[in-house]
Amino acid sequence: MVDDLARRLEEVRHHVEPGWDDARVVAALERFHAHSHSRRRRRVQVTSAMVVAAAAALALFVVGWIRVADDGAFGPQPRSIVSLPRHGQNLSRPASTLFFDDGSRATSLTEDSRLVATQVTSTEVRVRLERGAARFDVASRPERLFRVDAGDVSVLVLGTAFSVRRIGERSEVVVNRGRVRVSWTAGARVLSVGERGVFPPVETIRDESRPRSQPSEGDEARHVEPEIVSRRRGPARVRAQRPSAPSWRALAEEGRVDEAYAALEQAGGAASLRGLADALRAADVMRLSGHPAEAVDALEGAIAANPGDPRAAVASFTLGRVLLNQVGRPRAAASAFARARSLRPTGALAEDALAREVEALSRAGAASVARRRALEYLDRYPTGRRRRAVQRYGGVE
Amino acid sequence: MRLTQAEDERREGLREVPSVDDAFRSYAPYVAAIGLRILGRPDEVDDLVQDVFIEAHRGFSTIRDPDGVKRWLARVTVRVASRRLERRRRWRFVGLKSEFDYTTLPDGRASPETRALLARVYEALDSLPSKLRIAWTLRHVQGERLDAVALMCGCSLATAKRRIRAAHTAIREAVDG
Repeated sequence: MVDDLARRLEEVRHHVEPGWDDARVVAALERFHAHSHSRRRRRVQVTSAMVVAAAAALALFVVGWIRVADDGAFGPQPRSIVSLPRHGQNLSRPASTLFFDDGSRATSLTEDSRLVATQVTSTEVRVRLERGAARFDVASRPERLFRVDAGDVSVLVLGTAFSVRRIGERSEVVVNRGRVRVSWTAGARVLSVGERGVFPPVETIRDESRPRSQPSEGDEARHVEPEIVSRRRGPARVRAQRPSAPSWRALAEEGRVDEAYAALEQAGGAASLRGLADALRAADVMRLSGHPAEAVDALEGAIAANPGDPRAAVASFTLGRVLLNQVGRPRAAASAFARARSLRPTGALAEDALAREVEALSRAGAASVARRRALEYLDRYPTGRRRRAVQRYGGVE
Repeated sequence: MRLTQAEDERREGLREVPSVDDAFRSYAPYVAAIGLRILGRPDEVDDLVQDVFIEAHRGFSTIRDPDGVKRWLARVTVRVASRRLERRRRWRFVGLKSEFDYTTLPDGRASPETRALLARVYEALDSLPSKLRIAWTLRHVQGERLDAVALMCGCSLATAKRRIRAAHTAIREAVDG
């Protein structure tokens, strides 16, 4: 049925186009999130009363049980699901998860893991990983040292998240957030976010006088090279050792962001992400579950690792929004928007990014730069959609 | 060896069903295009895209084939657009007819003749049942194959052909007199 009308329509149908570009997609996605979030919040409100009641009853039961089990009042820190290691009492009892009152947490990653809190004082906490692997989320408390001992390796942290896995006599350390100082008998090394290392280094073990003819579990580990690797290869090694857990991606797709965030943390956090798309998804989970600072880490890492990916501009734009609206770092947000523009200089995303850069600079107090950017926007996009906001933030009304 | 492993992992990642967010980023323009061509009104497209992805969000976990996401979203779009068209018809029935100037539908590069043709076509489409309108629009404005039209409309190939034929006859009469 190809008649004259059909032929004419075939020639003109390309004129019926919605003209959706990156910026419009980003804006629509933002509205979609807002809508989903409000629906989720309503659903949560309906169920929260029941959950709170059940949780209160459970908490009362647990509190009573712990009081009876330990025959006394609570110590200041820490508390544990399995054991209650407190300063000077039961410190050698192993646990699968240790919770500390300042929010720090040590979580076993394998079933055979063995964690022991060996020292808990107001100035220092020491946890020994006797076997297996564990993840450590340490709250930032400059006045207190948090140290993890894994064989001959000691990891000193101040506000970070990282994982440690025993490999015979050596230990693998993966940093998910912040920085740690790893020390061993013959040296020390600082690891930053995304880095992984196996310690002590091979050379150190060889220097020791132990005869090589004696077979041990550690000999196998000596062939693990290189010592320091980027985040891309690290998580796969750790992931293979972990027990199966609910997929954070599946939970995120169902809109269960809080559970998705917990599962993501269990899976290794930002260090476990595979590519930019994964990072964008994880960043959504993080910011929607109330952890925007971690979303910033994930996005920054992903952009740095995938600068050539066409979605890097969208990731940088998202980073700017999180920094501006949720984290309250307008100057950093302005840099992120500028990077989004440099990654995709043409197209409407660049227009939106420039407009948001003006807003961020204005909120950062950089009035003169904001004004220059505003004039640049008005020059480039004289009929731009964000013209009014740009004029307002740039002070060129 | 490492490169091969990384490549395999990358391929494996690409074979995964995308998240709703990824799907939104990838397919929102496609959904918008189908929506605009069915509805004919640019001011309704944003809401339609939102509705499609809200509905898609509920059923997304059931998708197993990453290659099927686009077609599945197209079916959802057709369903949501159909509901909007039915609502329009009900408004017209109770006298709340909303007029629209379809000459504004084409983009800025369209000639006056093209604007006039598309306006006459969409005015004619407004008088058709939504099932006929959708099948014909998908075939002749969206340019889908017949089997794809049947799939998106959730009907048999024969039914799709019948709907397209009926709509085409009515539109040809309206356009060419």
